[in-house]
Amino acid sequence: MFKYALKRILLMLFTFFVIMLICFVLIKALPVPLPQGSEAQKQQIMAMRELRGYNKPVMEQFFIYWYRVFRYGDFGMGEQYLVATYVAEEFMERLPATMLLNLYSIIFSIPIGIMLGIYAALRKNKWQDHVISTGVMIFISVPSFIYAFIIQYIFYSKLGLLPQIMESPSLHGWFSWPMFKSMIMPIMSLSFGVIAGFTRVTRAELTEVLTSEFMLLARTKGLTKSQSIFRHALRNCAVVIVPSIMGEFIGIMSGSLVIESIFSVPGVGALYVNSVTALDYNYFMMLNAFYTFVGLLAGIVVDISYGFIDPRIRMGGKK
Amino acid sequence: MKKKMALVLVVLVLVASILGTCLVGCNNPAPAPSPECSSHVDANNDGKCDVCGKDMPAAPSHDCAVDGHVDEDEDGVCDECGEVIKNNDDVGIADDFDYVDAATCEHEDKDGNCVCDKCKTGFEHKDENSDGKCDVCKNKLRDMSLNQTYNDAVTQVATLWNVHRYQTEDDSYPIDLTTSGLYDFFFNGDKTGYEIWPVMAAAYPEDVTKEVKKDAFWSTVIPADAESAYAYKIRLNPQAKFANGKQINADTYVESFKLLMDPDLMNYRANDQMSGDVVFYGCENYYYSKTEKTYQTVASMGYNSVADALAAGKDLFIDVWGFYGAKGYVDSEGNECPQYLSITDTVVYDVPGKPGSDPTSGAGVWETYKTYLEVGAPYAEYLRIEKVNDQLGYTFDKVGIFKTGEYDFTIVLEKPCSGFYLLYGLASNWIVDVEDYKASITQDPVTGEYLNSYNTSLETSHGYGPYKLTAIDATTMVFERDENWWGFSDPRFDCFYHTSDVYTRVMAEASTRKEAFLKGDLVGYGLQAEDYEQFGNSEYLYKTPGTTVFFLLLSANEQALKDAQASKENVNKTILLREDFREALSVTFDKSDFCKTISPARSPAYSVIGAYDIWNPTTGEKYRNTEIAKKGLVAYYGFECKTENIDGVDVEYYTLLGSDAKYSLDQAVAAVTGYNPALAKAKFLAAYEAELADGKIDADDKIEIEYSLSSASGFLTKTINYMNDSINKVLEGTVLEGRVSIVESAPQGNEWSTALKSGKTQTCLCGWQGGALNPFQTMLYYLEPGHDPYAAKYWKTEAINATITLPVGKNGADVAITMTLANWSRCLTGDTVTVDGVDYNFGYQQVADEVRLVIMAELEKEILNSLYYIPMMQDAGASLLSQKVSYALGRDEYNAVMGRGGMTYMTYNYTDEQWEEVKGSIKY
Repeated sequence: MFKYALKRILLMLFTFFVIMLICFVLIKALPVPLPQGSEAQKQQIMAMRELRGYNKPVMEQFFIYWYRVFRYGDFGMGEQYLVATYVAEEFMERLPATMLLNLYSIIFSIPIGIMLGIYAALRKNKWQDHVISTGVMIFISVPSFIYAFIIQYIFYSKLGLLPQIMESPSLHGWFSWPMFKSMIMPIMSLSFGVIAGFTRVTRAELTEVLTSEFMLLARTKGLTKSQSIFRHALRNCAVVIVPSIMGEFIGIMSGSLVIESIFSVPGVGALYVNSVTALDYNYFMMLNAFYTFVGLLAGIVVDISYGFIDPRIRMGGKK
Repeated sequence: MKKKMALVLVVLVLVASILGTCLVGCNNPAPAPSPECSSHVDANNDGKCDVCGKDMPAAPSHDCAVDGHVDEDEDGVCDECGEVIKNNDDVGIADDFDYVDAATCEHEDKDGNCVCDKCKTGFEHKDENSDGKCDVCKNKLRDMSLNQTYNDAVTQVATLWNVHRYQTEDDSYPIDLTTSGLYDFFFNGDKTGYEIWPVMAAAYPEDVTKEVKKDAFWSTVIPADAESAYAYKIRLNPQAKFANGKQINADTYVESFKLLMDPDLMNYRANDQMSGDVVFYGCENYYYSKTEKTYQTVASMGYNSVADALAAGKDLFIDVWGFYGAKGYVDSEGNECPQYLSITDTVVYDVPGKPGSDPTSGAGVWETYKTYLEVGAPYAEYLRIEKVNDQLGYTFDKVGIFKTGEYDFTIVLEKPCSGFYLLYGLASNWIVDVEDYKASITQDPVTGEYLNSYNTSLETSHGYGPYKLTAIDATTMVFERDENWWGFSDPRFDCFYHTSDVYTRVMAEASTRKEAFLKGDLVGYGLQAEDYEQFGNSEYLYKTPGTTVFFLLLSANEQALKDAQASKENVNKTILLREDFREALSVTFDKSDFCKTISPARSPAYSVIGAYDIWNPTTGEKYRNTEIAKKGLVAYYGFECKTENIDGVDVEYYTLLGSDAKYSLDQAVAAVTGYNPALAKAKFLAAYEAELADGKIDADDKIEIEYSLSSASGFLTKTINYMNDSINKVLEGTVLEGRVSIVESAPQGNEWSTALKSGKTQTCLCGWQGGALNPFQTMLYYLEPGHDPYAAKYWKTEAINATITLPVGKNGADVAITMTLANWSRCLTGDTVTVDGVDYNFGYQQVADEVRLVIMAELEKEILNSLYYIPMMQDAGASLLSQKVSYALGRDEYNAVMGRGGMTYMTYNYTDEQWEEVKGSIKY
């Protein structure tokens, strides 16, 4: 198992650097935005770009980039977007908002999604199942930013129950009621789709497991219905549900790219979108590295988690 | 089972009722009513709501002194108070700006604004009737105990508000609140004009040119015959301190300037000090004191084209590192390829270790790519002229700013400046906390670049204005009144800065800002085009005139047009070279309707100098209100001036060709529409016939004009659609019906203007801003090649002469002077131009203001007659203002310099606590 994990990690790092190289070459292949301002200011920016190595061959720039990263922890500065800010500092400042938002969303989505899935499976082909399944179809099909506007309209504009945008962490701190209250709407926007996803997976798996012969055996052994579901059926379903948590988490992170802008969440998602729009190489590279790394890591975690959930699955072992 | 069904039914009914409430509300865009009472009614005038019984909210009753007069029927009399409204037009300042010692000043306050008219010392306000307003100046007195928060929204928080380095508008937001200039603008007593007060300075500058000239060095710098306007002593306000308590003195100013211009630090804002009306002597030399030579673009050196530069004997250099990627290439002897290679340099450089793989020389690159490097072409930035620095090692002691006392310093200027423009130039400030600033400087370990963290975070933030930054993160900026600010104990400011806190949130989406405003959580909301239907008639809508005139640029770059049409089949573009065609386009659009359709806040423009541009800042007179400007305008639009004798007196009147109607000059100006479909049709057809006769267009060719699109947007699509509809309407039933169109280019991003200037695209709505107080300067952007005008590539203003007759001879005799258009624009803005051995300088205070006015009017005519710039739209904005606050001027009043007084003069109708009570019931 250890060898398998190590191998996967090394492969992940290799993949990561290949992706980074491709991104770096492609982004550098785009024309450098012409400097704006007076002639003297333009010249100054050109001189600064020269100093920063913009005119060097792309591969040389790539190695300088990683040299700076590993030697000084320096991912460069914003040049087109958030001008003159340190990319790494800005990233670290904004990371908690994104992580918190995504974690809250996944934490709320898992139990609700699974419970709805169980309920739908137990009420299979009854009206409750139909209602839930219809809801699942709707929430999976509609993008999260659509809910975001509807939720904002209802809970802020019409009912005035929740703040329109996220509160300032420097004024309220990350773990305060005003801050949590201001995050409810983005959490809801991100969660609806995920809840629907969990519901669908749980329902599908459980429906299948509930018809298995071992479930019949469990009942004939004298277990109650709930005992047999929680002890046997759900455990079998977990092989599919638990790995899907990572998948859904990645889904939430991609969803938050847009949601963060709508609710003015000071996270890395909005930063990523804006850096692409502004053609800021340094922000783009760091955020791209982050999202790529998270995606690759999620893949490994999912694969390794199979072994823990179901002891019958062994990975990396010799035949 | 029945119980379960009943339970489910109850739940369903509840859900349906909640959804129903929401969905019904969705049809009504108005803000939600308060839970108790949708809107309070007090029919019996007992001060309580007849519906809910609560006290009526203090309605924002109209107070003309605070809210300004209202004149819906435009009869010149206020509808609210019946007072005759003073005309705000053309009223500027009546001050002179001579130094007056406050200690010996015989104070007087004729305009009743509680400030001495001469030395600008403030007088104590009186409020004997305790109505909260000064009995003299009528302004509301500030109460520091009230919580009055200004809730604002931005699209991005500031990240670098260092006055030496900031680059974006977002970053200037904290600077505006936390700093003050040496001098600043304020309303006069009755708010019909403005004054300039010393703020961080203690008095107006004292002209010390004669004294400074006694110094050995400065006597070589200041012209021998100059006795004034070159050197000034600035006395500082000794009470001024940074928010951290550190004293601000002359050292602060001198040392800060030295840091700003430091040759190593490469401060972005250093360049601001090197141009404009107020330039400290030698600062540019000091900035470049470590630069052996610079490479300037061909256009910035004043050449219209490469041919012009070569004809002037200039050697041209290509940045082969940037343009060709030749960095690291070596010649046959192993010498590395320099960044700049002369276009005549034949030395071959190649990839090291791989001879023959990419042999490159300056001459070779030039031969292959010269069309791409031409002035105005996409890669013109890479073609340069070498400028050797003969001031290498220039030291700061030869820069025109030095300390002359603990609280005064002297400035020496590169070119003379005085009066309004001197104070205007000193209205922004450059000071920093020198000690902390130096401590914030670090050096990049890899590149050696100097970095600076000053004013990039709350911890490194420094200010010296009425507000201080107290919190900042990626979502929010919070500013609080700095109660230790010296100004709060200065009686001049007792009626200002009512805002206790500024709470600024990031709201990138307009829809988010709109919702927040309607809920009372924002003080203002800038209307989007789609909002006009709902709020266009709101009594809280404030229209703010903008200074930019948007013109439709029509490219006539012959080679570029040929290239562009060669890439498409059955498409003609060269017809744009014909004046008839451009003239046709100029009268095709009903500009008034155009504005109403695509941007209702804006107004039609008929000339390139805007309706709000002030030509004489001392009197505040707007250029468009001058007779010469009016005459020029009506003449351009086809009015003919005639004279008739009425009762023995010759009276001028104007007629439009083909019409018998007689107009006065003002009536003629009002009658200008710039729209003449019949003429447009005739001119389109004439151009087409000529093009056909020359064999340049086929009978089935289409005429496509490519619009330089920065990025796709609804606004631009609407604009282009409108233009095409207008063209189609004019050409209906002719051979050109359906054959002339404006098409969107591929999105060009920030390169849209480069594409336009190079002729890759052929048209676009563009404009210049910033000429409101100095439209003379704007002329450079149309006529002077160094300022990279849009039409520089094909409108050779260096070669086109214009003769203007000016009263500059002996005893005011008229003299006809001929020089190129480019030179006219240069000498109008203070440069000395030599023509036939005679020096001309028509800059500010070099000649009578009226002489400058004549020149500007003539140049404006030339620009219009070129038919490259078609004026379309005068910029303006419209925003809803919260009922929580009031501006110093009402909706119908606006001062081109002061606006409506901004946050400085803003007063509050509700405190924060009161606002929370009433905001839910307020509608717009």
